[in-house]
Amino acid sequence: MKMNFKSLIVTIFIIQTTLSPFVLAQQLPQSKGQEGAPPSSQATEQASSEAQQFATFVNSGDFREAGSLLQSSEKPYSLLLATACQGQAEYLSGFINKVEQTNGNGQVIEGVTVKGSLTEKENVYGERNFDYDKIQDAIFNTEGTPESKRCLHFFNVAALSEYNKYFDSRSKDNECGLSLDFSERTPKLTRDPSKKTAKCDVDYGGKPLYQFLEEQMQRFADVVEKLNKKNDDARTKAQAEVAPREKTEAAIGQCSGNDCSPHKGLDYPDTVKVINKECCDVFRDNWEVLGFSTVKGAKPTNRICNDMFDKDNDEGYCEGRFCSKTLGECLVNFFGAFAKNAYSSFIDSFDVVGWISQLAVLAKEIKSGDLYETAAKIVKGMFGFDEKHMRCLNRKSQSQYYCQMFGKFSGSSAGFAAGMGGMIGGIKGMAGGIKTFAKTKSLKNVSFIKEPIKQAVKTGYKSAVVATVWPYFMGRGMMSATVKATKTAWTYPPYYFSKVTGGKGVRSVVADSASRVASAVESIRPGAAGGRSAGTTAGSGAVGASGAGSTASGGAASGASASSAAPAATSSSGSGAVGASGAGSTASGGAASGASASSAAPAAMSPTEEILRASRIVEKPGPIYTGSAGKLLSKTEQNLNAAKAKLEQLKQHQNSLSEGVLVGPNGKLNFKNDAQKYAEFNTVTKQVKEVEGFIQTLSKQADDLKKEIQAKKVNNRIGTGVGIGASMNALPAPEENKKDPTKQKDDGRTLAPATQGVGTGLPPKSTPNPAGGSSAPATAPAPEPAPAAAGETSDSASPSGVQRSGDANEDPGP
Amino acid sequence: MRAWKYVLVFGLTIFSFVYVNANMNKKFSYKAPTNFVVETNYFPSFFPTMYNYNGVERITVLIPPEIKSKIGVPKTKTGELNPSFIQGKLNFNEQFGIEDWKMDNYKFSQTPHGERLELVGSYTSYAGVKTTFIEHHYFGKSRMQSIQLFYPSLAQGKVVEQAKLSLQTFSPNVN
Repeated sequence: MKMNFKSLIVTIFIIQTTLSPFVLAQQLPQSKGQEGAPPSSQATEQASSEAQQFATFVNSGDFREAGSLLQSSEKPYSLLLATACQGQAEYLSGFINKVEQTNGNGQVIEGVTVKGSLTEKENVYGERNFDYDKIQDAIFNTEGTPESKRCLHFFNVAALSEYNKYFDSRSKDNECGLSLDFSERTPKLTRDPSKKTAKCDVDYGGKPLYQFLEEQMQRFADVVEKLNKKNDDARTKAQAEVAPREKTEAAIGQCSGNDCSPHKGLDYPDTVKVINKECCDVFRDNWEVLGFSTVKGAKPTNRICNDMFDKDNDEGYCEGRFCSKTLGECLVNFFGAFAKNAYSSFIDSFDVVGWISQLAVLAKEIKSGDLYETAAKIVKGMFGFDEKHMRCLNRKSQSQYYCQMFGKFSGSSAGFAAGMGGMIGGIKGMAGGIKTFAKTKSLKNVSFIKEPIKQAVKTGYKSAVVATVWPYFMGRGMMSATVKATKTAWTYPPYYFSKVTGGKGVRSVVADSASRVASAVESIRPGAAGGRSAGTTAGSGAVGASGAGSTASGGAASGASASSAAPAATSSSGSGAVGASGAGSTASGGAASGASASSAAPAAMSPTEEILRASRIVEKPGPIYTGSAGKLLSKTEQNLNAAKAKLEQLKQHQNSLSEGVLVGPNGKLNFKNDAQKYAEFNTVTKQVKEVEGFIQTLSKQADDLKKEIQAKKVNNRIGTGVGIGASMNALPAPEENKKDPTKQKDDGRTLAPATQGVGTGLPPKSTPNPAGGSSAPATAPAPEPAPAAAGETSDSASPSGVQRSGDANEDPGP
Repeated sequence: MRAWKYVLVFGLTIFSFVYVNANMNKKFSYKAPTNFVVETNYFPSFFPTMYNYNGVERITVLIPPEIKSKIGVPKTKTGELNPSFIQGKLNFNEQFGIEDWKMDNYKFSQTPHGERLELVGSYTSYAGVKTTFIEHHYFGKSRMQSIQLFYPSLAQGKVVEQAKLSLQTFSPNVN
């Protein structure tokens, strides 16, 4: 009972036939969104669901392996009962017909019926007469557990294989020249008269053996054809099930792994979310490896995932000629970058020469082949980005990914942004990359990104990245920051001064109105302040206008926390300010402290607060706000006058308390007999000191303001420059306030997508930081942005959308 | 008077394009067969130049930019093709998904334009078409120049023969 080659082919055919609905079911994500599918019968619908259910339980690899095992085993049914069909011997026996016994000539022995056994005479073909219709009905039209379906499918494979072998051997043994051709999907009975002899003309059951075998083999072919048809129906229904977006479990087939229970019973939108989340998880774990970012720890947000995976987001971006044109340009740029760098003098070995000589093939294919096909081949070949991953991406993202990867490797940011530069680093990176590529013999066992890419990164790709990203962000930062800085400086020339309190340096601010501070508090949320997202263009405006290196979110955080009178809040506002220029978490901490502090303000006001309240200033010195020079100066002087008046009042009160009090030998007053008066005197004394300090602060502030007025123009120019730099450290703005970077103008064209571009929003570590604010000490008298500016500019922040791990965003990632 | 300036600039621009184009043709000295159309390429030193057959079959002659290379001819001491050269090609094919690439024959020959390596083989294009390639690589002391012909393996007849012959008209100056 050795397995010959033909049997192997037939087995493979049967397995593929049996397997086809499951493979198709697993491809459901691609068919999602189809509409107008024809209605199907209830049975088919159920079959589809079952098929999908089965697909979630067994993968094609397992199935093929098991099928081959059954084919090669001398006891396939025993094997089944020991593995996939444990305890189901009786159930499977039910698919064996009870037939009348025949003698060797095919003549029926009346009164004698037999039923084949699964485990007896297992190695004798034809000992069992299977009810194939019943088996197929059980597979497609009945409910069952995934385990039972799995068993039935394997059983079907074994049964079909047995009868194919049976007919084949009988035809050969009796020299009939009959065989089944499995070269096409539906087996075809072939007759070879040259191989037929008289031996096949013997009588068998009242008819020639040839005719008997011919009828039986044709019946067998019909059985397989019927199986194919049911598979087709199941496939059609499975695809149609998803399309109407009804409540369905069809999406179960899309899940990865064996556990798909979370998908059950979900509405279509929920199902899509789950699928997107699964894709997102896969991509998130490999975000950096797949080349979406060069920043270690960068993860995609849910919004990014949704944009990338949701097929509904495809519309309007990449369709028709524009899409092809864009992709074509990417490919041509890709080749061009290769060519420009390849045809230089770095060749030092013949494998490099051979590798480069094949570029002509690539050029020819790019020029003459289907763009998507070509792009897919290249991406898959270079980066190992196979169908599994590509299937997650919608059409738009696929195009972007192609473009991005081509652009990245060729040292240009991303096709569209290729003109931004990067060629200097690109040449170095390309040279190293090509050498590595050409010398890399084996690309096996690379999961996501192929080894040459990794090597290329080591050998100079980073320099390409830096050179690529830097001009891009510089250009973008210059455009946005210049506008914002100019606008802000024009409207709110900021001023700053510092105050030394208790030996601790604290940034001071003079707020020109309570409403502005309140707006700052409103504009700062943990998510907004988490990272440079809020501080990007806010920094470009407010900081730029202020004329020194700090960023907006920190300043705003300070403003938020400023409403607290507690010293702890003051210190945290300082840390928030510093953190905002580089570390988002600190900035968000500042914001959080402000939010809590404002609600925990003490009921009793200090003299300083009374002064501030009297002059409509609600904050203690510490944080920052901006205003026009004249208004600030006048308010400062107003505060100063109020403080002086208060000081006079306090001193008078102090004097009144000291009247009649004995003076001790040490020169101090002695309140021995009046503890209450003593306590009050001490309180007033403290208040006097506080007001005196405040007057000192206000005096210095007024002086600074006067100086700043003189230096206004100069500062604004400096601030513009610094603001440009600050904006180059852009991270995405909070999602609520940020424009969708993929949305485009009225002409239908699109901007560079969120995932596009090396670095995707963050400059690499090696990129110089022009802001200079990130390393500034907390006590440095750096200016901070206007809260209003922070709020109003947050909607024009970086379109990146990638956030750092640990940021206080909605989806921090691992 | 002002109009003359524009005419002058326009004329210079046109002249530049014509000059570059003329230099391109002069440089390659390649005579394409009739019914072959050359794709516009003003920067042949950076991008490959393609000649496409203006018929049903996709027959392409491609001339990539020259390569600065001083390592010489990829030939072993015994006169055979250096295995590294082929390995580099195989690596490229694997990395870019070019399937079924195989080399049927190769030949070294001395020409007035340097030593020539001739490769003949086939591969399956991205579109799934078995494609025959004929590569001629000319190796000089410091430069290397190639010309490659691609045509569907099933294509036969006069056009293909003319395309093959046209490769002999290529006379790069690599010395």
